[in-house]
Amino acid sequence: MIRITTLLWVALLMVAGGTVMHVSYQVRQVERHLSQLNRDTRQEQDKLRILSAEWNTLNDPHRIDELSKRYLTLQPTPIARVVSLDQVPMKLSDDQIAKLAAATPPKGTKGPAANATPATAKKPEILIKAPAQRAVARPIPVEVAQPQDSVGLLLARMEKHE
Amino acid sequence: MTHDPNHIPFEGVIGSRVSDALPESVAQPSSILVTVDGTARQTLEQARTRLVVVGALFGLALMVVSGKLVGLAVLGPGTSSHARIAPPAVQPVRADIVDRNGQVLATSIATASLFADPAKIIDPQDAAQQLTALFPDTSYNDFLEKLQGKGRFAWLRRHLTPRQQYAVNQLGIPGVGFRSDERRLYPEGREVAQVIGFTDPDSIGLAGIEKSKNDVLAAGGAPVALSIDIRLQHMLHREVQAQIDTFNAVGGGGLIMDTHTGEILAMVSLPDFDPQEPNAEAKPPEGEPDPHFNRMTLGVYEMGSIFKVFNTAMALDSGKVKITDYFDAFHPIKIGRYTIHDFRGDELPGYSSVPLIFEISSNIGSAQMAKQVGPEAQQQFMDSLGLTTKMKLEVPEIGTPGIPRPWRFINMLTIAFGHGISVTPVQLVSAICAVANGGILRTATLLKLPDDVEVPGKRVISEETSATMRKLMRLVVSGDRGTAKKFGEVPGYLVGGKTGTAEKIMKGAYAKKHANLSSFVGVFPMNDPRYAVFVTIDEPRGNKKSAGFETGGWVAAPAVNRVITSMGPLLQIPPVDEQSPVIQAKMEINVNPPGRRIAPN
Repeated sequence: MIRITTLLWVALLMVAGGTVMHVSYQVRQVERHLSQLNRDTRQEQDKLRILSAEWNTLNDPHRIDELSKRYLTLQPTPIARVVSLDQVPMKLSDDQIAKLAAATPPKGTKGPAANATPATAKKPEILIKAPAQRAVARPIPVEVAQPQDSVGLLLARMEKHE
Repeated sequence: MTHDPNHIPFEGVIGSRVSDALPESVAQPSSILVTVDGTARQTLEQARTRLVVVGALFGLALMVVSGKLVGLAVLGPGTSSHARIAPPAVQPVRADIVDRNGQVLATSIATASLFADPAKIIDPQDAAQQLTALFPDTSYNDFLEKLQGKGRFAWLRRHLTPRQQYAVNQLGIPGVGFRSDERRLYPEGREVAQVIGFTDPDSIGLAGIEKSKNDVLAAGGAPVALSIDIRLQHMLHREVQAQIDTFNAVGGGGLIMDTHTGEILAMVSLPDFDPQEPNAEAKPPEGEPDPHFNRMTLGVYEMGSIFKVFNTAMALDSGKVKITDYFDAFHPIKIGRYTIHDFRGDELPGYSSVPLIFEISSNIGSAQMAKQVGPEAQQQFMDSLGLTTKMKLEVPEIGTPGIPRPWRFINMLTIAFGHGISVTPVQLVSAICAVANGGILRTATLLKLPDDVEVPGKRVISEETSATMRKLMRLVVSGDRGTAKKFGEVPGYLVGGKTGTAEKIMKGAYAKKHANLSSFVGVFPMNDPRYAVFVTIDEPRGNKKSAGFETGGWVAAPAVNRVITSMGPLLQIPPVDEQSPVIQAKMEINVNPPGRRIAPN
């Protein structure tokens, strides 16, 4: 009788001990995982900060100004090109466009209606008219187009999009 | 439970005795007990009871443990607080400073810093040699001194790049190690240096916003948003620098302010410095401008004719002078041993109207107007514009205005045209905004204000006076004889403003005619002012291009013009049609109105 209960208790003890050990190992593992995650988070945050610092350095207006002067023929928008919406001609209705198309031989889709938006907005908005003719990009000097530095990368990206 | 040294284990006693004393056939455990004599039996009984008690106790304890285990497994950890794992203590990263559009002006990145424990260094000479090879900009002796130091800790070098860190690890010098560190970065470089300020290597603010907001920034968290717009800052910086170069000046500065909120959108002071290496350049010799000196907030200057804006506003608002009045702007005013005369006085024979006096910026006429109001009222008016007391702004570098004490009659005459009172440019522009925006003075600020919220202010002049002043300021640019006529006009934006050319005070006396402070403050669009742009150039040298002129109209106005030309389309300010009848009616002013003559007395 005593032996059976003793055995039972021993078995119970082992089960309990085993469970405790198992749980404690699990906890330790989860803790390790957590601290790893925390470390990773911190590292990612640090990387983000560095990237944002770099992004802002690259976007420094002074730098953009210099680059645009060197490589672009674009000019700042003259004030004369900024007009209020009520100075823009109203959009023609579909019928009117059809009539016009019928009356004139097809010569492309030029005309004031091309980039006008409906004048339904309440407050007068500002539209920036497209420049009369497209600026022709100057050839980029070869010696600066090294893809190693960020300027070179930027240029490479610009060329790709052309 | 008893700890008798002679006590022998119960089972062993039975086992040995049974097997030895009795034959196998009768070896029935229960019958053995019967043969045992009285004392032994008593002992056995006692031992058995003890075992049962001990067993029960253990069982109970086990049941408690397993009960708890089952509880934990089924119900979860519950609310027991000690089981929770404390989150790792992460030191806060110093908060960013951003401009009004979120562009980062100052940020912190994680770096590693190299330190030494001199007690653990085996061969300081060798270590110093190896480190000098890696960092040629630090001398061998510097390293050696630190490596041989008495203490247990010395910084060898702060903020290493990952590559440098790798190289130091490769050296494998015992006794040196890394600590994770934090470094302040300024992506915009020198352009906002004067506003942002800088920090020491331990990221403690030493100047500008970095110093004044040090506690907020050090606590980490959300970035501090400034009212500065980095795009406008760049434009202003570029144009002020261009004028300094053109006129071979010693320095200069500029401000852009929102007339309706008091927000400073750009603030430039030149020469400037690199906030990344604030002490890279040696301190300039005596007499040369200090790059760390913020002219816009710390510098106080006599602003010259720009003060005629306040003088005229005061005279008109007092009711004692009407816009149709005429004053003698021809005969110099003699008071004591001083004589007040005009730069172009000979062009104004006889009596001149108030608009004309303002347009051509007559000192004599302005002084005559001030006479109608008196020194006391003038002082009160300057007080109300906040020009006589130290202003409030979110940087620690703030100058105290220089005002006359006592404020006598002669002071009144000179203050009428901006001499004998010195103020900071920020104060000046705030007051200009108040005169132009309808008469409400608002505190200047470097922090971004929430959109669409009416900023409280203090009324300093009436709406009508402000409307008249707008016309007069427009006349300076559009009028035939306006002092900024040549360079102020930006078609479509109705620029108005006032030029100012002040002789510089040096060592307590006015310098020779050559040292001027040439300024222009432009406000636009004058029919509904939104922005004030101020540029001042310190000691410009007239050149061929400016026909030898060094005045605000020639030196500062072109820069303001170019800034407005660039910023208008950027901020999508709709240009106005100057020829439209509505605008013409709003800006129209008669330079030669029928009116009374006020004789000098």
